[in-house]
Amino acid sequence: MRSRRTTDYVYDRRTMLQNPEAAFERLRADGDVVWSATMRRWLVVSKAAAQAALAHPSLHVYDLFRNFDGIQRRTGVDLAALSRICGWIPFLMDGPRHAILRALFARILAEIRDPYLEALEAASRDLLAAIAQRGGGDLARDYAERLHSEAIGRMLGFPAEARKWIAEMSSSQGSIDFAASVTEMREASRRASALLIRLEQLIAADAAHPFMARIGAHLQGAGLDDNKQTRIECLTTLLLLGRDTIGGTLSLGLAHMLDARGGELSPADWHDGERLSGIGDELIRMSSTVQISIRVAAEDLTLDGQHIGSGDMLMIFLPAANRDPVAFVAPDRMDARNAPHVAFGGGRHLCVGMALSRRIVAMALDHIAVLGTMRALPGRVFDESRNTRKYLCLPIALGAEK
Amino acid sequence: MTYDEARPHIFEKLGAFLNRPIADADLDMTYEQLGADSMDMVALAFALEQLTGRAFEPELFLQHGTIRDALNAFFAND
Repeated sequence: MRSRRTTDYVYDRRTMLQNPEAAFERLRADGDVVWSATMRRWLVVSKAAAQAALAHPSLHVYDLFRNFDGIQRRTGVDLAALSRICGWIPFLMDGPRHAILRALFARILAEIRDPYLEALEAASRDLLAAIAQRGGGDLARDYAERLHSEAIGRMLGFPAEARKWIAEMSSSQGSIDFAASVTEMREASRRASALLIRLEQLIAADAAHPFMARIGAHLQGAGLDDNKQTRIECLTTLLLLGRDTIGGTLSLGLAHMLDARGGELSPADWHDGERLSGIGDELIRMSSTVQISIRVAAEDLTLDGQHIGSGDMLMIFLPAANRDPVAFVAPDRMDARNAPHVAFGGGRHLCVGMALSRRIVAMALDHIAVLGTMRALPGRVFDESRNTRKYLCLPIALGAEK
Repeated sequence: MTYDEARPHIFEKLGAFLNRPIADADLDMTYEQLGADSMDMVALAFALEQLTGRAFEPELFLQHGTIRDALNAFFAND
């Protein structure tokens, strides 16, 4: 029997936040799929192996709900609200409910696409106008992280103060990560509970809003219970899933663009070599905001020549796969010649919002380019979340340095 | 709080998770040998946070093969 390829690497959140590429480079030297004896799981770092793992029918998602139940039993911490919301997230489950939820959200997103993009466009211009008026600001907190909840909030006619509050509360930290600390999960559950209550109050003011009625129609079409509670839970899930992914993609991508040009972007840089629309997907690849997909083997199988035993856990590092030097001609820079990426996952859990996300990124880049010359300022802060890497604070100033 | 002060609480929590009395030698076993899963480790990290008032990253258990090593690393930063 062939021996396992092993690594002595162990996951370190802070290192992974600050400089993930250094960790990936070290892992790549050990192999595409390697066993970490200390972590007692497989680590997947190449694009080919990541694609194979994501598409493998016998590699299932980690059962987060068993985790929630176990944690509640062991610690007495109430995770009921968190569990309720996560019960709507397609990529946290396999089997019939996954298929139903995936189809449900695909239909909802297809239906709201045009009004959502219209609201997002207005929100984007307003948020950037405020930054322009101040001569600069925080591109993460004042823009990237607010776009999604601003768009949904505007569609539903929520007041500005409520939209801002929702943006702050709809962080996914601690909610979809199997290794989150109990403190983070408790906080995530507290936020989920507060969101459910506040959204119910906001919706109550306009219970017959067409948007909520359409969610109801889709719930019925999917054979799911349609009532006030399920509509609110569905809406909360929509808010939760878009905020960090869009925020992270834009904040990391813009920081990368600034850093690649010595900390200053001029209008000419936005059209340097490629049309703006052409760099959107490369920005998504470079950002790779979703860090890790966890899979558990439902039976013995082979991946990249390695024997994976039934019950073994795999950590698929999507950002590592997206900078795989074998898969991309220019892995460390935005280059339209690069091959398609795996930032949206793959297989049956391919991100249901992929097409919409691409539209959002293209639109955001188009708007940001209008700001003119932009300079990076010190004071960047990474968010501490494990599941999505992103900036919590990305300060910039407008205008060339004098 | 020192390790010696926390020790009885750690033993109590771990014993409750594993449903058996914990001996000092258990701290030198790997998690598999101990019969602990990742939820036990996350829950134990939470118990230590509650006890000490300091953030305890569950990843600390991933970085060390045994509970003793993880605890040593945690209390060494006092």
